[in-house]
Amino acid sequence: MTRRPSACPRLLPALVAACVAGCLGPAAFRVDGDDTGTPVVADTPAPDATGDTAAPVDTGPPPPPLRPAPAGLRTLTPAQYVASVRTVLGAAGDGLEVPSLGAWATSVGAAQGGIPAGTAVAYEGAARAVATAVFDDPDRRAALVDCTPAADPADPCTAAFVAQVGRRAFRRALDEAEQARWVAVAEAVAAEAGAWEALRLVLSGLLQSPSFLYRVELGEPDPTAPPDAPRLRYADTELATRLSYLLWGDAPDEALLDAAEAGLLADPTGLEAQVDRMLADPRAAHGLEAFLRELLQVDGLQIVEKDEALFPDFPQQREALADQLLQTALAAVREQGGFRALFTTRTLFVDDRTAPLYGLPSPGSILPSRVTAPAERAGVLTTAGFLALHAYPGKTSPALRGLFVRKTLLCHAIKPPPAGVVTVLPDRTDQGLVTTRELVAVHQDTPACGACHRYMDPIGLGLEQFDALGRYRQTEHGLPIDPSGELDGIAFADGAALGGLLAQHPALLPCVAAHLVAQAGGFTVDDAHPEVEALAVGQGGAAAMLRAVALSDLFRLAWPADPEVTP
Amino acid sequence: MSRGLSRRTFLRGALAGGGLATVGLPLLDAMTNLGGTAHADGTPFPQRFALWFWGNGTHPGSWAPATTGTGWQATGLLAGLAGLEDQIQVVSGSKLATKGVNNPHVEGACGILTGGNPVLHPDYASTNNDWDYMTVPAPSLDELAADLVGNPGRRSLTLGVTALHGVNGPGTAVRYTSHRAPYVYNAPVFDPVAVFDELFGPRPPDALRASVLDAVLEDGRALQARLGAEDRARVELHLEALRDLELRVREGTVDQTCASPTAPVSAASYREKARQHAQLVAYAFACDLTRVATMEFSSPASHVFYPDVYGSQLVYNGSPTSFHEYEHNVGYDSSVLTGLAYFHDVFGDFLRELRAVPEGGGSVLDHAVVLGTSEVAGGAGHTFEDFPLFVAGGGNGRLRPGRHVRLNGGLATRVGLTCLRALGDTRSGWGSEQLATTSEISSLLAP
Repeated sequence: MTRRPSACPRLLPALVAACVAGCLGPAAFRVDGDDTGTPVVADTPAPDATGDTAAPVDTGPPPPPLRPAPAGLRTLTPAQYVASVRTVLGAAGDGLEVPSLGAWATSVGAAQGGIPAGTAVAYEGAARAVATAVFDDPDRRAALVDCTPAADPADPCTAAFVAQVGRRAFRRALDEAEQARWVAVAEAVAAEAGAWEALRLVLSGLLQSPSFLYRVELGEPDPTAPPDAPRLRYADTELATRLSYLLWGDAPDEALLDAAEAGLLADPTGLEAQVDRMLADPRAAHGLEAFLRELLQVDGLQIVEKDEALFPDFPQQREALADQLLQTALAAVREQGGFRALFTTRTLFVDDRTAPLYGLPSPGSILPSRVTAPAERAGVLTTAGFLALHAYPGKTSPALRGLFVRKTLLCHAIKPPPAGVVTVLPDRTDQGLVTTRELVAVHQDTPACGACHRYMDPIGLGLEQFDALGRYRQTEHGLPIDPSGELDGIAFADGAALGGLLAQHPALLPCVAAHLVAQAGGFTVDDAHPEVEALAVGQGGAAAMLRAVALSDLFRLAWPADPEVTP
Repeated sequence: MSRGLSRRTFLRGALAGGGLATVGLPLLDAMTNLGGTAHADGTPFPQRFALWFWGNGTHPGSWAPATTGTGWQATGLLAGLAGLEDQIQVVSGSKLATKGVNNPHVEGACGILTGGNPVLHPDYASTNNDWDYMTVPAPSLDELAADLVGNPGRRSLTLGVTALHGVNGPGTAVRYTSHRAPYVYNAPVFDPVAVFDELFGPRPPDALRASVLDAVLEDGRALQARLGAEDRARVELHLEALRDLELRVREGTVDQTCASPTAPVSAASYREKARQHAQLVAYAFACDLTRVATMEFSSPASHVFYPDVYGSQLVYNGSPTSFHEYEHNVGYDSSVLTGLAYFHDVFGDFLRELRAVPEGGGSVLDHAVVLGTSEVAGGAGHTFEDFPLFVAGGGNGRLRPGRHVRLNGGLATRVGLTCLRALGDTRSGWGSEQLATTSEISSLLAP
C-alpha cells in the first residue's frame, strides 16, 4: 500500500515538492530480480516542483485500473483459527482454551505462505486436545452431539454429526466423497473403540483438515463479465466465508451459509441484506477488532523486547498493553464516529499493571477500566502499548514511530536504509549525554539520511515525551524535552496535537480503506486508486466503510490465479 | 521424494541380525563394525547436515586465524573453538557479492542461505519495505540437504534460541533462516524441553490416530485436484509434513535400540539453552530421527540483548541498547568484540555436543557436515568482504577438517556449494544471478 508520485496532489503543499524525491517513490521491485528497486535519490528537488502549490502536479500516468486479487487459497490467521474452532464447537466450546495457532499473523501473508511442517503438527495436536476436552466433558459433549451414536455402518447419528460439524468446519456442505470418507473413519474407529470415540476422532480430523485450515476461494466464471475478461466471482459459500471473516473475523453462521446455498448472495439485494444483518450483529465488533489488531500491529507486543533493568515489570504488562491498546482503539472507532477518532480519543483503558505507566491511580483490578486520558495524551499514538511497540528496548526512536505513521497510517512508502549507507550515528559522548532530538539531528544534516528521515523524524519527535515504555517524561538525561514536530508542513506542539492533525490528514481515510481491502482480499493495494479512494466514504465511520468494501467489486470479484488458465 | 534409508528398515535389519542383544546399551556403539565407519551390518552411517546461524556477522579483517592450512589456532574471536581446530575448516577472505539495492541484512541472508537475491511476490509490487515483505528466491541449504541425505521420518529440525527478528508483514527473509520455498519457512522451536518430548518422549503406535491422518491427507489430495499449480505446491508441503507425522504415529517412536539424552530442564541462559538444543541434535542424528538440523541462534539482523554477555550493560547515549543497535552506533569496540567472541563460544558448544556422542570409532561430528555462518561479514557497516564461514565435521569422510582456507575475494556461495557436494550433490552449480557458482572449493573436499 504505497502512494505513487501521482498521488502528490493529494498531499499537503509542503510535501508536494519533496514527494518525488527517491524516498517516497514507486516500488520497482520485481520478483524476477532483474532490476530490483529505485535507488534512493539524495535530497534532489522535484523537477516539477514549481512552487505553485495550488495546481495539481501530474508526475506520471494515472495508475492502471485496479484488478481484484487473484483467486486462491488463504490460510487462517491465528485469530481466525481460534474463532473458527469456537464456531465449529458452538456452545460446546464455551470457556475452552483454544491455542492461537497459525503461520501467518497477517491476512496478506496468509494469502501467500503455506503451512510449515511444525505448524501442521501443532494443528494436529491442538485438534486432538480440543476434541478430547469436548468429549471428556459430558455437558460439552451433549452440547455438540444431540443424539447417541452407535457402532453401526448405517448409524444416523454419526452421519448427521459428520454432516453438521463438517459443514461448520468446511464452511460449506461436505461433498459425497467427504461425507463417505469421514463416516468410514468413524465406522472403523467405532468397531474398535466405540461410537463416542469415533466422533471424537472425527472432530479431531475435521479441525485439522486442509478444508478447514485453508480458506478455499477459487471463484467461478462471472456471468456479468465482459466477453474477453477472464474475470471470476466468488461462488456462494466462498463469498459467505469472505464476508464473515471480514465483518466478524469468524466463520459463517448457519443463516449466512443458508443464504449462500440458496443463491441469495449473487443478487445485490440479497447481498446487501446479509451485509446489513452482519454489521448489526454483535459479532461485528470482533471483525472490527481483527482489523484494528492487524492495522495497529498489536501482536507485535508479543515479541517486542524491553530492557529488564529499566522496565522490570514489562513481562507482566506486555499482554495488558496489547489488550488495552486494542480496547482503546475499538472504543474510539465504535463510539466516537469512526477511524479518525483513533487519534483523538480521550478514553483509555488501564488496569493495575498499566495505570502507573500513565501516572494514574491503580483501579484496583487487573481487569481493564475505562479512564479519561491525562492531559498530555490523546489517541492511540499516545497509548503505552503503541509507544512501547515503536521504540527500542531501552530508548525511544523518533524514526520508528514516524515510520509507522508515515507508512502504515498514511500509506506513504519509505524505503529502508540503502545498502552501503553507514547507519552509525556520530559519537557524541565527548559532549556528554544529549537528547534523542539532538542525536538524530544528523539525519537531517546528511542528505543520504535526510531524504527519508525528514518524513519520519519530525513526526516521531512529537512523541519524545513518552519513553520506550510510553511513560510520560519531561526531561531526558536531565535535559528538557522539546516535543514539537511537524507533519507535512504543519507544525504541532506535542503528541496530543499530532493526533489531531493526523485525524484530519487527507491521506488517512484512503489509507484505512486500502488496509481494509488488503485484509479483506489478502493482497496489498495502492490507496491512490480511485477504486480504493471511493471506499473511504463519509467521515470514516467503520460500518459505512466496511459496508462499502463488502459490496465492492474488489471484494466480490476475482482474477484467475493462473493467467494461462481461462475459466 | 526419496525417503532415503529408512530408520525402520535399518532397525528391522538389525533386529533380524541379532541386534536385540544391544538393547539397553547406549547408542549404537555395539552395532558398528570395528573400524567404526559403518553399522555392524555394513550399512554406512547416514550423512547429516547442520546449519548453525547467528545474526550480525563478525569483525571482518581480524576474525580469521593467522595461519592458513593445517595447524590453525583458535584464538581471538575464535577462542571458543579452541580444541576443535582439527574438526573445523575455516574459510576466510570470501565475499558475498550482494547487489546493494535492498536492505543489506535481507540481501545477505538470502545470499548466504539460498545463493540468490531477495524476491517480492508480485502482489506486493506496490510495497517496498524489504523485511516486511521480501522472501527468499529458493529453498535454503538445509532444505536442499534434506533432499540429498534422505528423510528417516522427520525431514529436518529447526531450533531457535533468541527472539526472532520482528517483521510486520509476510516477509520471511530475515525472520527465518530455514525456507522450504519462497514465503514457506520452517519456524524454529525454542523450548528444548518440547523438542526432547517430541523426539524422545515415548510414543506407542496409534493406528486410530493414524487413520484420522489418512483421512486428512485424502481431504488434502481432493483439494489439490481443484487447485492451480502454485496453490497445489503450497498444499503439498503441508501434506508432506502430515505424511511424516502419519508414519511416526503409525509406527510409534519407542526405540529400544537407541539411548536418549538427559531430559533438559528449563535453561536460564541463551548459551545453556543452545547447548541443550545441540545435545538433542546430536542424539537425534545418532538415533537417525532426522538427518538435518538448523540452529537459528539469532536471526539475521536480530535485535537481541545477550544478557549472558552484557547483563544490561550495553549502553549507548545513556540507554540500554541491543547488540545490533549498539554495533551500528559504536562499531567494533571491546564490548562488540566480546559479543562476537561469545557467538563463537556457543557455536563451539554445538560442535562439542556433536563430538561428545560416540558413533563407530569416532563421534556424530565425524558423520556430519556442519556449516556455521551469518548474514553479513561486518554488522557495523553492513560489509560483505571476509565473510565468516566454518565448515565443521568429517562429513562421513567427505570433508578434510582441520584447515584454514583463505579465498582472496572468491564468492562466499562457493562454500554452500561445497557443503552440498559433501552431501553427495551432483548438480552443476548452486545459486542464481551474480551469486551463482559452479565451483566448489575442492580443497575442502576429500579427494
